[in-house]
Amino acid sequence: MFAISNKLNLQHLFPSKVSIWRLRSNNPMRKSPNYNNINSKQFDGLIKITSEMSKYLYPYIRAIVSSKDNYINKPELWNDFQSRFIELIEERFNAESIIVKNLIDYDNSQKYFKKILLTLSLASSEEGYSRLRFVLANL
Amino acid sequence: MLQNKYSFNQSSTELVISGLPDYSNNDDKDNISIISGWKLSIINQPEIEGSFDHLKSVIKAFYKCAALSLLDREEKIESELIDINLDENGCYIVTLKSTKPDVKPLKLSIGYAEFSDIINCFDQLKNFKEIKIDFNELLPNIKKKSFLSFDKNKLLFTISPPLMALFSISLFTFIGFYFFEVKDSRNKNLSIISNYSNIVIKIK
Repeated sequence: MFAISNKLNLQHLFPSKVSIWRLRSNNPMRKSPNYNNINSKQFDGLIKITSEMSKYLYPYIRAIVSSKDNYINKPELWNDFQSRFIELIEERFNAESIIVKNLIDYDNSQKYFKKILLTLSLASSEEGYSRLRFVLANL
Repeated sequence: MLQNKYSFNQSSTELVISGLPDYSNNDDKDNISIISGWKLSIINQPEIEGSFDHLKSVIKAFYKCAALSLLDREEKIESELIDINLDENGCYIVTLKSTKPDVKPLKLSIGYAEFSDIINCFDQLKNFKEIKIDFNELLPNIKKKSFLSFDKNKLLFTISPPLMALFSISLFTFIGFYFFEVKDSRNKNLSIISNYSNIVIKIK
């Protein structure tokens, strides 16, 4: 993330890895969240980084989504992704909260994970930044 | 005059646009301002082609569908030329309607992977400077959900359990009151009789 932020000339918003980590730890679902203020420029910067990262990851994202689309014929990739994602959530998020409990539930979380991957795949194009921004502004 | 042809590729999808420059608009020879044909090829699906009006309605419908999917709003997209719906497996069912008579609508089942490829191709077309299409009229105009707007089914599902609970509590309360009143009146009658019996005893 830090390398991509440098590539996008966002050093003035994210001068170090710690500054990005501090913003990431704003997530209230984490085990020990911090509550820092995010200004609009940092918000835009995070959207740009997300969009740029999804460009690099598009082949992988597409392969996982394709596995879910053809789950009967090739379920392996989707199953690996889901179990690894749930492992990461269990490691870092507060598993006592109901939202996180729903996320780590194999049956309930499938639709949510698929939605995340669709969002990232649609954010990977040239229009990805404006599309992601439009969605976040209209939630 | 030679036609220009450009293609846009993304994984399983290829979009080919052919057309001519409009020299009255100071176009270069490489530009396309007058689109004469287009073709969308998706792996394992039949090819789609048509007029410029078809292309505009297809782009408009796909962009709207992408925006609604990202906003988690399930709305049917219907127009004269194209319908897009979600089936129970989470695939998009695209129905393309021909303007020619006696031609049956073409139905395609597209997964999320192919859907994002198609949107990627349209985005490449939008950002390609040699082809001049006014995309402003094709972008989705989605109104932000107002604070007071709500889903009727969701509201019913949320409100019905407490309403049922309230109704049952009130019903049991009324039944309880009724029995209490009957018992109370019986007790009163009994006490009067016992008073009389006391009086009778005192007289004796």
